[in-house]
Formats: sequence, C-alpha cells, structure tokens
Amino acid sequence: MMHKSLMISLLLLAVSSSGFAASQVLPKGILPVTDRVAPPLVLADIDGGKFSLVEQKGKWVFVHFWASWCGPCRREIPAIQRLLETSKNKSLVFAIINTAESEDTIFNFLGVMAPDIVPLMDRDGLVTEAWKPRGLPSTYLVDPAGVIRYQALGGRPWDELEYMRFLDSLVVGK
Amino acid sequence: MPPLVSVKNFIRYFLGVVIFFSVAGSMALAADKKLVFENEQIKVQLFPRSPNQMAGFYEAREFPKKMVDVLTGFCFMTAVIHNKTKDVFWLDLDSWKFVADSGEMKRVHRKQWPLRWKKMNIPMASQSTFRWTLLPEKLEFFPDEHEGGNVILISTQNVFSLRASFSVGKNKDKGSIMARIDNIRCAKDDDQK
Repeated sequence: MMHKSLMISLLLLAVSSSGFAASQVLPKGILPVTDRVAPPLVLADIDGGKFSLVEQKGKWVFVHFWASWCGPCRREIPAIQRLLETSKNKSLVFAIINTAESEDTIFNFLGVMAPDIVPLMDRDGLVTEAWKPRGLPSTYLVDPAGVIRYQALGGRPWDELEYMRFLDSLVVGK
Repeated sequence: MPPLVSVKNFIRYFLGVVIFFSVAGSMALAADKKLVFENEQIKVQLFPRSPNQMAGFYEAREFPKKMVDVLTGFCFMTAVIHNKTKDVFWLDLDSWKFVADSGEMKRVHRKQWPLRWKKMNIPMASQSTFRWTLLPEKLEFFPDEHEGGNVILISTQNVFSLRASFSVGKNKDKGSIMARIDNIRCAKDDDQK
C-alpha cells in the first residue's frame, strides 16, 4: 500500500515538474523552445540594484525585452504591470529589460504606463543582442535550471486568465 | 527614489507624444494610399517615412546629429507583415525586389551600417536602437505572427514597385507566396503639408 502511494506521489511529481503538461494547449503566441540555455544576463536596474540570472536558479524567470519607441511594447507593458500586481506573492521572477534607452526616457514612460516595473538597463544593447530576440517586444520563460523553455511571439495579453494560468502552472510545477 | 519630473523631461515627454501622434497620423495617411498587399495567406503593408519623420523619431531617441543627418538622406519604408497561414513562412529580404522603370533599386543591407557607425564613433546605444528599428534580413514567421521594421533604400524621385516572395514551410519546401505592391514613392517632407 505504501509502495503504491509512493508510486502515485512520484508520478504526480513527474507530471508537475514538467511544468505545463505537454497535452495542454499553450496560450496563443507561446512557443516551446528546445535545447537553449539562457545567455548571460547580468544588469543593473534603474534604481542601481544588480540582477543576475544565474542567481535565480531554482525559480522560473520571465525575461522581457522592450523599448518605449516600439508600438507593440507600449501596448503590452500595461498587461505586464497588471501581471506583476497579481504575481507579487508568487515565486515567478521578472527581468524586464529596457533595450538601450536613457533613464529619462524610461522613467517618463514607465511612470505613466507601469509604475511598479523596475526595469533592468541594457544601456548599450549588448545583452539584448546576445539573447537574439526575434524583435521587440520579446519574452522568454527560463526554467529553474536556467534553460529557455518558452518564447512569446510579439506582445501578449499577460494579464488574461489563460496566460496567468499558464504562468501559474510553471511556478507550481517547478 | 526616482526624481520628480523636471522641465527638461516634461518637454521630452511632450515632444514624444507630439511625434507619436504625428507618426500615427502619417501612418493613416500612408494607409490611405493603400500600399498594401493582402490575400488569404499574407498581408504586407508599407508606410513610407519622410526625412522629417525619421529625424523626429531618431532625435527623440537622442541619436547624435551626425547619425540623423546620414539617415535622413535615405528612403525609409516601414514594412509590416502578417502571416495569415497555418504554416511557417520565411521573410528573406534578398528575395525582395524594389523595381522602378529604370531598373532594380538598391537596398541598404543591415550589415553595411555597423562599420559606418564605428567610423563615426556612434554610441552603442544608438546603434542598438537603430538595429532594432530595421526589418530583419531573414525571419521565420509563425502562424498569425505580425512583425515589422524599416527597410532602407537609396533615395529616389521615381515611382517603384515591391515584388516580394516568401518561402513556405519549416524547410522552405512548400512553395512560395508572392506579394506585389505598386505605385510606391519615397516620402518627402512636403508630403505632410
């Protein structure tokens, strides 16, 4: 009996640790990524704090590249702000990376659009370049082992239920 | 604790809003000219950008004047592409031909810019932003994906056409989609008056 319970527990653990079950349909615009270790990501945020992706091992990380001049980024960032508001007590880590803009520009933009976001500053754009996003905006979901598991095509309505459930399923299954 | 918004920042923000709406307005103007190709597989839109529009955009991004001066000498087209199929197709700018009566027009490949910017000591941040405003040379478009960016041509007064082909399928083995847009002109500053 105990052996059977152990087997069931192990089975449940295996299913949950795979994150989003393969049989489930991914939200629109989310694509699985195979065999891509996340490139290096060490940046200062706009307040001077340091962020290192390596130090996030053990957690899922939402890595997002944006710039205020990009139309789809402007439309998407309020959804990320709302996602942040609902994710405060969860273990999803956010790395919201501005590509090569000045502090003034970022402050003026986020102050109005998304005041809770503390952006990481890719001042010379080289980190963005290393990640080779398809364009801006771009989002990657990095698993607790530092491997990119999913990418999002363009801007996504992250505050909609199917996207939040998807992100929750990753965090719960970590 | 972020600083309060200074007068300088307020002016920048105000100018940004003005430029945003002027670009949006000119996009509507370009759309009126219907530089669009659309069928059940693809939608391709072109928006010619005038030197003033490009200067306004890049100056608002704090590009050095010498960089803006170079860029405004070219013909900018913002291209937006939508994959309406349920398959993958490929953008490859090598298979885009801009053709005038006088022959094929020259497009400036993205590889040509870094050396030029290096010689001009352009800051990396400006180079980076500039790169991200360009349409990729090659890109796999997933079903329902939209992407856009600028294509840069040698400026001309002539009317020209775009003939573009997109290979279909992950391995580019499912034929191709042809798109054609006629009656294109490089935008001039006085087009906006």
